[in-house]
Amino acid sequence: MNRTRAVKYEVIAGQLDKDKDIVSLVSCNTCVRLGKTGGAEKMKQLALKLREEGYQIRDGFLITFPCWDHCLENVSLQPSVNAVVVLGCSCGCANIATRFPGLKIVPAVMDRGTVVEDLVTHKKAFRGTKR
Amino acid sequence: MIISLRTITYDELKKKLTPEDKIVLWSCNTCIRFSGLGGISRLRVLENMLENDGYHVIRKELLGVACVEELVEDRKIDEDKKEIFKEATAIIVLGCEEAWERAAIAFPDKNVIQVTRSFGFGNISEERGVRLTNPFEDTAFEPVPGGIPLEEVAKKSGTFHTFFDADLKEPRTKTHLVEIVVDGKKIMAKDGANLMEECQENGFSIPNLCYMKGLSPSGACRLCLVKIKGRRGLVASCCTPVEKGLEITTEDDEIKEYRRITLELLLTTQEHNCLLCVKDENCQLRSLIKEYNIEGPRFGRNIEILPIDETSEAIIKDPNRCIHCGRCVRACDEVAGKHNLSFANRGKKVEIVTGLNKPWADSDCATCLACVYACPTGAIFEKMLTFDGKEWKARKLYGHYYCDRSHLLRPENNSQK
Repeated sequence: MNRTRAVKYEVIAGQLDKDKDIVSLVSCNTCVRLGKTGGAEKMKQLALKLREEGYQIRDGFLITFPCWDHCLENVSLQPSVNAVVVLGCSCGCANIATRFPGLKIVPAVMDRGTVVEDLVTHKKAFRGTKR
Repeated sequence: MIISLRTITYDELKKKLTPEDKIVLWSCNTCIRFSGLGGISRLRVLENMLENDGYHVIRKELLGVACVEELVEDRKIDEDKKEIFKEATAIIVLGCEEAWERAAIAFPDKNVIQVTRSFGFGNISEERGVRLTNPFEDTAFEPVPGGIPLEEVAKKSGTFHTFFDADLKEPRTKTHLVEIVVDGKKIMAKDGANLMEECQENGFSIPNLCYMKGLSPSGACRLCLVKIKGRRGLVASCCTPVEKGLEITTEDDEIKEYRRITLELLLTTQEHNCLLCVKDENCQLRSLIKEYNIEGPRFGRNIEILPIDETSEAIIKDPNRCIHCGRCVRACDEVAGKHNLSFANRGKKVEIVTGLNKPWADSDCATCLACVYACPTGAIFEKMLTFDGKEWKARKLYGHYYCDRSHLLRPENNSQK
């Protein structure tokens, strides 16, 4: 399972343009939800906060596995949407970028990676990814 | 999903075992299945290979998500499993590296054998196959737009993207075969194996709803009834072991009529409105209704509409579409190891409940989705929603659900692309 950490709100908002960007949100409902960095509730909090601050948030999609193409087929973005905020890990973002080329992809979550545990000392560490 | 590839050959695997070992084959049912190295079909292939070579496999253990500590640790205390794990001396893990670590930590006194290496995270699509998009920092790979195909990862890393059977020069035949006759045709079937599976593997189609590969059979739906020469009445083929000399009739007018009535009765018991169901064309009940040319129930209906449980963050239960096949209950017992689902009440009031009849969110569910993959109708499905409007109102998504298309994503269908 890919453990994740949330990206700071200011960093997400800093990548969006209040006047030009029409935004959809997509959240993973598996690893990222279990890591408490995504899921329906977290997506709602982020969407409403961005809206409150004047960003043009159109809609949101809660998807079981954004890293699997056929799940992404459920995401029907409106033609006016030009930016997607993704509450998903690196491979979810990569898949969304492949499926919706030309759109601005803003990750709201960063990988920490899988957990590696020393079998003797039981000390745990993250095995991170290149992004 | 985590991308893992095989690191050892079949001969190297055998060197890690002794002929006296009592082996458990252990597989995750999520990422590794789509990397082509795990899942129930791979467990069966490996079991057959090892048995052919004289090894003793005592159990095939499929786990919903094998990197979740809770699901692994539960195996040690599970009443149905703990004795097997006490007896086991070796565990072969078909999972990512994290899954192997979890098993090795849970069973420190066993020879827990690692057969894969994880390279990072990736995507899966019917069009492009499985690809590594975000490699781990400690690998030699760099992220590439669109990802790296598994063949390329295998070639550059000296690993294998195929399963152990690819190492064999010629395919292994099954052992302990006996001759049986199915619909007048002689076939060779494995002695003691599940009769329905053996018939299906030999090209005889037997309808079923409560049976699922990897779960224990229950004989609940009565659709797989067949005739066996010399036996009284009809027998459920999913619960009948193969014996030498069996003569089986899988379909005649009488069996057809039984199946038809069974399907009609299923239609009368709940609200099966396909127009409002996410399962759509992928519903096994709907396929059989079509196959048997049933236009609607002949019998009177007295349906009480039951409340839908949407409390879980990941799963929706719609009891109005449940046919009480029990697959979800067995999946929760055997794959998840949680024993969180069960039947409650009697007769017309029978229903599947979570925990001690609590809402799903208040139960002990680990959201591993084993029940979702098991459900043959639209009674249990994953929560996929779309939100919009001022109030951020949720609506159910009607589209492609994971469980619908998982068969298309089998690695043999896509890894070569």
